Order: sequence, then structure tokens, then C-alpha cells
Amino acid sequence: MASLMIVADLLEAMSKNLKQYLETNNIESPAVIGIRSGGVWVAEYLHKKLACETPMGELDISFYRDDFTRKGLNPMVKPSSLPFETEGKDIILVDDVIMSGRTIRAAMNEIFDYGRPARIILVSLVDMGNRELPIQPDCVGQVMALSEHGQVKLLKNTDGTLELKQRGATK
Amino acid sequence: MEANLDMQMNKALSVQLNQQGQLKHFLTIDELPRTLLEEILDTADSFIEVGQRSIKKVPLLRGKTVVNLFFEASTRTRTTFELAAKRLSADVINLDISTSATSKGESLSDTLQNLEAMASDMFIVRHAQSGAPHFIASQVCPEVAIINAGDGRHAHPTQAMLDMLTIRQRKQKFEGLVVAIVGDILHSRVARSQIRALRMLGAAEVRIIAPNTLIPCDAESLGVSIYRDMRNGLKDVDVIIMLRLQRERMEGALLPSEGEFFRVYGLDEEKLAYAKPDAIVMHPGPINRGVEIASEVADGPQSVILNQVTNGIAVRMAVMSMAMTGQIAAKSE
Amino acid sequence: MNAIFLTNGHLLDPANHVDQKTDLFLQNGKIAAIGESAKKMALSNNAAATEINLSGRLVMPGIADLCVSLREPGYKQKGTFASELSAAVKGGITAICSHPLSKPVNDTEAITRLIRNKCDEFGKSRVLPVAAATKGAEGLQLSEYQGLKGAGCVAVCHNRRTQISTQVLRRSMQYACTHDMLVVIEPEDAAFAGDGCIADGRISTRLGLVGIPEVSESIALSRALLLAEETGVKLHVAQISSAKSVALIAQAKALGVKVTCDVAIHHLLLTDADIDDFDSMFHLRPPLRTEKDRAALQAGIESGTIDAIVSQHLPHDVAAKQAPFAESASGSSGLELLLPLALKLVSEGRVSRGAIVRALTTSPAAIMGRSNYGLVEGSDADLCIVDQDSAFTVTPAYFVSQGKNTPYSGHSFTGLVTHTYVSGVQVYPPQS
Repeated sequence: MASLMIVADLLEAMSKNLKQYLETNNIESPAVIGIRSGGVWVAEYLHKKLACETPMGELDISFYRDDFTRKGLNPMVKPSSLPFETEGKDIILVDDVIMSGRTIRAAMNEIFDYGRPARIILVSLVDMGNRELPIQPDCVGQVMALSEHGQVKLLKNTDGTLELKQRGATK
Repeated sequence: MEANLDMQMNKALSVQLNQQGQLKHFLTIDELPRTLLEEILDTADSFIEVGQRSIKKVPLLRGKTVVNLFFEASTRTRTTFELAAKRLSADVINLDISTSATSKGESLSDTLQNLEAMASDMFIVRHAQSGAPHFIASQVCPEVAIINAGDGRHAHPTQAMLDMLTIRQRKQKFEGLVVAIVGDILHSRVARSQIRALRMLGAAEVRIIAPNTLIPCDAESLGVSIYRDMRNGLKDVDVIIMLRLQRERMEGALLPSEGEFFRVYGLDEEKLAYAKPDAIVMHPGPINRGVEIASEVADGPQSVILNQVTNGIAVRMAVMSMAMTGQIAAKSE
Repeated sequence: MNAIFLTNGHLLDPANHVDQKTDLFLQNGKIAAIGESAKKMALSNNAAATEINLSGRLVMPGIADLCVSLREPGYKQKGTFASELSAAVKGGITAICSHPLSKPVNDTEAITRLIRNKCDEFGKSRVLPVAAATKGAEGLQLSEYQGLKGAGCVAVCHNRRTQISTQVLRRSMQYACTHDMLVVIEPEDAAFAGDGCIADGRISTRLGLVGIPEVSESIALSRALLLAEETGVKLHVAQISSAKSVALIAQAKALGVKVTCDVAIHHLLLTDADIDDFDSMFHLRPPLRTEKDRAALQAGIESGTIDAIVSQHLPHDVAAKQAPFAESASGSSGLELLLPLALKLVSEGRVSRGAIVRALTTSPAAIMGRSNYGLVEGSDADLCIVDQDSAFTVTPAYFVSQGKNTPYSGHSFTGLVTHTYVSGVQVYPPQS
């Protein structure tokens, strides 16, 4: 695995873009939801940066995956936690890496089981392309192109810093 | 034949687990490793959260067919299994077999093979004969996930696991806990599964408290200490599990009367005071008030009986999705 | 009838103090000569005798099995006279006591004669019927012992599933005494054993199966022994399964009670700890018990307290075992495994070869009423010849019996019967 670009820089740039987006669209008190596990770390940063009053939510989409009949249940599943009313809320949904779009589909299905939000804004640290569903992020840190089997993963170091690691070659 | 014993133990294990050690049937707590029991509890924790949402349903078992096969009537257990299956988005069929095919002389194997041919993915089995779910899982329908919902006196593993979940919620861990199980141990599949689960999860001591007529032969071999006296047995325990007393025990000359049983082994406030002040009181239900437990205790602050019911749905959701996972993996083995 | 000259066999008949490598000459259904005289007889007989070189194989008196369910009449889906007698001779068994619980129950002269006539047609093992001691094996009215004896019954039997009052049991013994009839009892207190299907103990507790307390056998046995002592009847106790029973039998024998007893081969090899995973093949009656019981039963064979080992052959159709443990039928298909399992006890050093051979052959034959039995000149030429070294694995295909039900599936044993003779005629392998 090769270390990729500096995550701190990406986060910094992305939070600026996101603030801009929120202003443009007149979104005043959004709620932040991170998808486990990488998305939660990114969401924690954004939640702080945006100084959100609503507590942050965490989603574990294991129960909503569309590949259960092939892979079964993730044995490490943890409870989701949305400690606020989702009904009518503006939600910022955060993941570390977007690729096929299936994780986001599962996450949106799960959010709707808590209530009907006013709108969902999608934020991803990295966009790998290779989409299989018509889902696009509203705010991205970095667009990358990988060969079909390449993977990028966000890791948390022991000192708390985040790092992007890559497996597979750039096109 | 001693040399074959190990082989047979492994055989027993392989009925329940696939080659990767995942649950593919859930028949008994016996022989399951501690990690797997903890995985069931952890997964159930996630399902508890699902039960608190406005839409209490996840799409995990969408398109799967779950058949409730109750050869012995039980509205409560059947309902919680049904609800658990529905919350996993499965299609559920309830079959009251006691009044259906087998009474027309069709053999158990034939009935089950017919159901399997209807593309069933999971059977929830309640049967009066100990070992009936083992028989179905090993001989009749190995490719259908079999969940034991209580067989004879043998096992009631989902009940035991929901009890473990309840204990963990209140006591955080099992290490150091002293647990007393009170009443009709002899006929109780619940007690057998609870004892095994508590031993496996690390409880310090499991006590059984009952008259000699309701203690099974060689009960020490289960890994319990035996008490005939309620007050001695309850001294300083953390958890009290009361068992249901069936009325027919009086007819079999196992006990003289409900009244005498309640006087000696019924849990009232006076006897409860011998336990630790923060001891919790459990009961698998349905409760016989004034037979094994006094109303003021059943409804009192130390009772967690209603938590058990809530946890029952989550544990069953966990076990069902795990067994389905194990079946899926077994088919690709 | 051709004479047969068996050379180079290892003759083994401990009851008659025979243990030597020598020759055997069979003529007119009898053992005509042994050793040098056999050789002489063969020479003088020249071309007429069939000579078989046994190359050191074991020659034993034919096995006498005191407890075999042939299944006919009534249960052809489980076994027929043809299938089960073929299995018997393959197992070296030359004489069989047929168990009365057929359908209908053998409780009359007519059924006894039917069994004997049909079995004689096959010309395989001798079949000596045992009848039910009470009509329909219901424990209420006596069967006609005098008539049954005339028809060829060797004993009347009180079945373990039949509840019988002390009064009726005593009268049955008194009446049997009158006609010098052997009474067989399968000791179990039927009401007390109830729905039990496994020995009461650690395993029954773990599996949640209803246990049969050991004392249920002790009570039934004690009652029978006390009544036998009082009435003076000849009593045979069928399939004891506990250390306590061995002690009770020893005590009764010491008191001079006319009692003999047998044990099923599986109780000498298995314990309830072998029942795992609710395998219905281990559903046996009496139930498998503990290590202590097994050891006492083995010692009982060695000391002669237990007279005989039986197969307790109970062949079943596949469906009968395809059920949850308690609902499955009990019993195993045993004729073809009796000898290999018994030899396993010898090779494991649990019981001496002499005690095993006696308990399989001459002792049970004597209980059947055949006293001049064994490898002596002039006795019936009922023989079984064994290749002790040939190994086999138990699979359904191994069984000639219609019943493939066995707790030993997949296990390997040594000791196959190569020839069986009844009255000097080779009945196994079958001659075309």
C-alpha cells in the first residue's frame, strides 16, 4: 500500500467547499451523519469545523447492504446512532470514499427508516469514479481514477491523524 | 469406542457450524465457542437500536421465506419469532403442525421435505421431543437454516441468549456474577441452555435451587452448585432466574401443591432480600403469579422481565440473520 | 450326505477343553472324529469326503444366539425369515432363539409351528422359538406352556415393555415349573421406566432426554430372583445392563437359585457417553449405561456370572430410525456383528478368548437345552470357522440382514466367518 496525499489538506479544502455550498443553498442548521468507519472520522472533522449544534450521527449500513445473499451479515456490525429527529432535517451524509454508490444507497434507505429528511447532501473525501448507480456527491475532496480493482481506504493512525492508503494502480 | 468421542463431538459441532465456524443452524448453546455467543449478543445490540426507529424494519432477509414450525403450541415464542422475521423483511408462514399433516399420519420427514420443496430458507422449530431440531438439521433439511425454538427438555437457545443479553445490559460483564436458577430444573430446556451459556460466558457461579424431585440426575455435571434451601441459595447472588412451574407436575407426584411450592421456593420480597441489593429478577414467562413469583417482585424495581421480552426480538433477529449468513457461506463451500 | 474333512483348523472349545491345531471329520450330521482318527476316517472314506484346508483358521462350535427378532410373522418391511437366517449363518450363528414379539405375538402352538416349519425350509440356522409367557404379551393370562413346549418352544418370555403384577409373574413361574419350562425375563419395571429412552445420568441430563433409572432394572430383577428362589423355576435373565444386576445375579447363583443370564454385545462395548448428537442408532433397550457398568459386565463374562452374549438382533426399516431420538425405534441389527465385536473385546484385552467363546457357543446352547454340544466326537456338527485377521468396514452394503441399523457405521473390525455348518451341512457360504 502506498501512502497518498495529505488528508489534512483535503479536509481543509473540502470543508471550505462545503461551507460555500451550504451558504449558496441557504442551509442553516444541518445535521452531520458519518458512515462507518472512515466516513465517521471525516464527519467528526466537518461537524467540528461547521460548529454544528445537532449532535453527530453514525450509520452502520450492514443491515441494508444489497449483497447479503452473496456475502451474509458483517459479524462486526455495531448499532447505528442518530441522536436527533431526522424528520424534516437537512442532512449532510459523509463517507470517506465513493465508488459504486451502493453504500450511499444503503445509507439513504436506512436514514429514511428513521424519518423523512428535508434534503440529503452527499460529501465524500475521495471520489473513485466507477459508479454503478446514479448517485453523485455534492462536495468532494479529491477525484481519483483507479484501475477497476484498485481500492483506497482511509485509516486512522494511533496519534489520531488520518491517512489514505491505496492498493492497486492508477490508470 | 472412547477414541471416537472426539470425532463425535466435532460431528455435533459441524451440525451447527459451517467450515468457517459460522452459525448455520442454531440448535443448542452446547459446544458453541464463547466468541460466537458474544457475536450473537453484539449483533443483537445493533438490532435493539433498529427496534427504536420509527420504521422498525431492515431489508436483510428480503425475499427469504421463514416457516414457523410449531409442533407444540406457544403463542408467545411464535409471535416474537414472527415479529423478528418480519422486521428482517422475510416472508413468514406460520404452521401449526400439531393440528395439521402429522396428525394425518404423514411422517415428520415427509412434512418437512414438502416444506423444503416450497423453497423455504429457514425453519423455526418448536417440538416436544428433545433432539427434534438436530434430527431435522442433520438428517432431513441440512440446507434450510434450522432455529431451535425449544425442544423437549433439551434446549431453548434463543431464550437463553436473550437472557444473557438482559444480564449483560444490567451487569456489563459476566465475570464474577453469581446466578441462581430456581424451580423446575428437571423439565426445563430454558435452564439447560442458560446454564451452558452462563458457564461459557464466564459467570463465576451458577446455582440451581429446587427440591430433589425437580433436579435432574447427576446435575452437578452441568457445572452448577445445588441448593435445596432458597434463602441459602439466594445469598449474595447478582441474578435470580425464576422458572415457570407447569401445573401437571402436581399430577406426576413431583410436588404436593402450588401452595407448598410457593411457600418454599416462591420468590417474594422476604426471600429476595437475601440476594445482593442490586440483584435483578428474571423469568422466561409466562408468569404464574403466586406460584413461583409474588406480584410485588414480578412488578418490582428489580424485575427485568419486560426487558427480556424486548431483547427477545433483537436476539432472534440476530440469530436468524447469522444462521442465514452461515447457510449462504456453506453453499459456496 | 457328503462327509467333510476339515484339515489344519485351530479347534477352540474351552468348555470341552479343546484348544489345538488338528483335523475334523464330519459325517451324518455329527462330528465323527477329531485328530488322528479323523485323518484315518478320511483315508478310508477316500473319494467321498470333501476336503477343506483351513490353514490355521479358528474352528468354534456354532454360535448360539438367545435373542433374535426374525421379524416374521408381521414385520416383513424390517426382515424376513430368508433375509435374517442368511444373515445369521453369515455371522456363524447356527442356533437362534426367536423373540416372541412378532405380529401376531408368538403365544400359541400354531405360531410356534409356523415359525419352525418356515425356518426349517431354509435349512440354515436352527430356530428355537421362545413364546410370550402371557397371552398377547399383555401380562394378564398365561399362555399354554404345555402346548407350546410340545410345539418346540424352549422358553416363555416376560417382555420388558409388559407391565406384570407380582401375582401373575409368580403364577407364571409356578406353572412353568409344573411343565419344566424355562422362564425368560427381560428385567425392567415398565411403568417406572415410563417414557424413558436413555440411561438416567449425565448424558440424559445434558441432552434433556427422559432417563430410565438403573434401579428400574434392579427392582424387576430382584423381584424375579426372589420369586425364582421361592418357586424353584428355571429362570433365564435376558440382557442385563448394569453393574448392580451382575451383583444381584452373582448373589442369587451363590444362593443356589436356578438362574442364568445374558448380556447384549453392545453393552459390553458401548456406554451412554457414546450417544452424541441424538444419533438414533444408539437408541437401544435396555439403555447403554456407564463405564462402571460396562466394566462390571465384562468382568461378569470373564467370571461366568453372565452365561451368554447375545446379538439382541432387532432389524429395522430405514424410516423406523428416521425420527427424533425418543420417537425412533430402539435396537440394532446384530447377527453379522456379534462375533467381530466379541473378538474386539478379546483383542482389546477386556475379556479372555476362552470366556468369550464359551459365552457365545456352549453356554447359550446349554440354556437352549442342548447339552452335548461342542467340538467333541459324536456331537452335532454345528460349526463356525473364522478368519480372525480379515478386516471389514461396517457399511449398509455389509449387511445381508434387511436391517442396516447399527451404531457402528463406518467402524472397522476384524474377524469374518468363512464357513458355517449346521448338522454337517455347509450353510455359509451358500452352496448353489
